[in-house]
Amino acid sequence: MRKADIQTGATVDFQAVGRSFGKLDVLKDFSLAIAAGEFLTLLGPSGSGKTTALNMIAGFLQPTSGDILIDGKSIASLPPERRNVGMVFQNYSLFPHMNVFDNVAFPLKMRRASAQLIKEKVEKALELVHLADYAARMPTQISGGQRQRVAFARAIVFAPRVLLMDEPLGALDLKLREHMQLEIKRYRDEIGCTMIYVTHDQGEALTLSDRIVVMNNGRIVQIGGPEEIYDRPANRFSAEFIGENNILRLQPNGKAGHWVIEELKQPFASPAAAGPAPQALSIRPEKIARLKAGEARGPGSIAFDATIAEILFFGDVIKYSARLADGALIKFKEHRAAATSVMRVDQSVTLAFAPGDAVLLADE
Amino acid sequence: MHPSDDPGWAGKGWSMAFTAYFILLLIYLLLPLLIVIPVSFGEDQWLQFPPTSLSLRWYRSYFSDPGFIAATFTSFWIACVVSALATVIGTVTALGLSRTRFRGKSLLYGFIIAPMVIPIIIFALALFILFNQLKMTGSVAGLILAHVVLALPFPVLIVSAALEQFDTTLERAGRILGATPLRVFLHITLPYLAPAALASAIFSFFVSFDELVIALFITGRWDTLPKRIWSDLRLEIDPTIAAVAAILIAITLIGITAGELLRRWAMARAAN
Repeated sequence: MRKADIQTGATVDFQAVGRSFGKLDVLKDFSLAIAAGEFLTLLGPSGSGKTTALNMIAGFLQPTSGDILIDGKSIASLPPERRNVGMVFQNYSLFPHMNVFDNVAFPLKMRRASAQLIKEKVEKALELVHLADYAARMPTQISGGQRQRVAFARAIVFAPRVLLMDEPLGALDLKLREHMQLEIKRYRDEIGCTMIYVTHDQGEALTLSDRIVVMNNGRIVQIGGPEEIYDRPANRFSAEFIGENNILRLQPNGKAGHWVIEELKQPFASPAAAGPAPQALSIRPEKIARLKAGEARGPGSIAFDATIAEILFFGDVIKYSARLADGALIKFKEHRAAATSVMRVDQSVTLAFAPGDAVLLADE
Repeated sequence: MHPSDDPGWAGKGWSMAFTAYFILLLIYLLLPLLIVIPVSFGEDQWLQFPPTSLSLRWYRSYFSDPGFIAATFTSFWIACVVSALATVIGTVTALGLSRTRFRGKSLLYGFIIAPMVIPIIIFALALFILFNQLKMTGSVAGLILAHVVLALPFPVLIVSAALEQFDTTLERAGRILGATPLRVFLHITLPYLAPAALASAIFSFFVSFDELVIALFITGRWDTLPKRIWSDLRLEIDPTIAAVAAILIAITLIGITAGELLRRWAMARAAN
């Protein structure tokens, strides 16, 4: 149940923001409107400018050009302590000389709240992260996952209207990371503030976000909801960075909307799209099916022969890598329920995909 | 045991030789201390080891000698002032050095550490000549200044080591959570540095408290405790000296142990 009336998020607007360090432009002409209460993820590899963008909202960095607005007002002249923004850091950054209670109380003390109010709010925040019994512990006396939950409590206890999260789960192991993703979803349902999340982990981005901003080399590559980003990557970078994918090269066939898939030596047709001419297509491993002996291929589907080169067994899913006639590798996936048995290396298979599942990609 | 783990006879020989060397070195360093303590509890008129009978006679003699007591107090309060000054200046210096980059930084660092490696007699002689020019010989302020310079490497080195481990993200966290730079320093940086600063204060105290050579050169008429011990030794060898030495050994041992424990605590906490 959302208690959005208790705490409402603010809008955050990047207006043509640029940032350079010396001659290096780490963020170029970055424009982005973040809605109130939205969970937005900046996703990209290291050096893509995502952390720079976050640090500029926090006030640790100033833009070299452009402006950032919170609720329509420029924050350029406000120091970090006056921006009323919460932040969770990758390495928890709990104050080592304070116990859990004092860590969470810190933002309230800095705002000169009364002892009574501090006690109430800290207890409420610790309850939210299920650590009510840990108030007296020192940071060294609790586990990594608990530390990160204390960091969350500390970042939201003063009801900021924007919460920044800088790879908050990066230091946790896989199991804990998955658990904390569920926790973060719960926090966001209980507190209504705008959340801006930075990660290089596409899985986290897909799980948590309302919208994902894919970034590379200081620029926005694509903006969209998780499904849109996954199903319709706008370009080669998005297609390769998010999820697993096969990229196949296209050669123009003379006619508009007609190509030859280089690796498969097969024709491919699609209504010619506007914009830059596609140079490749992407097809997800789960969209490629194996044809059993004697099974007819679907009408219009693209079928080809390959030899199994590598097998990754995951229990519920088996991931195969198969070698095509020209030597290139193609990945495909089978669910255990559908698969009769695990294939062997060097086994010959016939694979097929529907042209409608392929996405045309321009290089940029 | 894995074959390659076996150091062999040659290896064992070396390791035994090192152990023997280490034990001999410890005996060499500790023997004078082990002798002076029983001597201080002796009854005899002269320094004698082993003492023929035990008494607190020479401790009484120390506590009833106004010259010794005055010298002890002088040394004590000078050491306190030196400790406070060196700790504050050293901490600020370490903070400045850790947060700036400029040409000649390592030169400045070397300059601050220099009193640790320059022979103290050279330093004392240089001060003597300088203070003569400035008409500062015999001034307490002069001795305090000289001792601060001598003690400064300790706070600078200890606080710098603690700062090297300091995660500056903590200061960013403080800012975004609502603290001004000054309050970040007071609530986050300073408490973090407190054990290192306290260790520095203790080490600086003892640099001044048992310093003899500079005091000899520049204090003129009045005595510090080490200077008083020195002049007594030259005139007569009286077991009171042994009692003073035993007291000094005890105080130094307790103080330096406390300082070292604090320093280790500061480093261990930083590593977390």
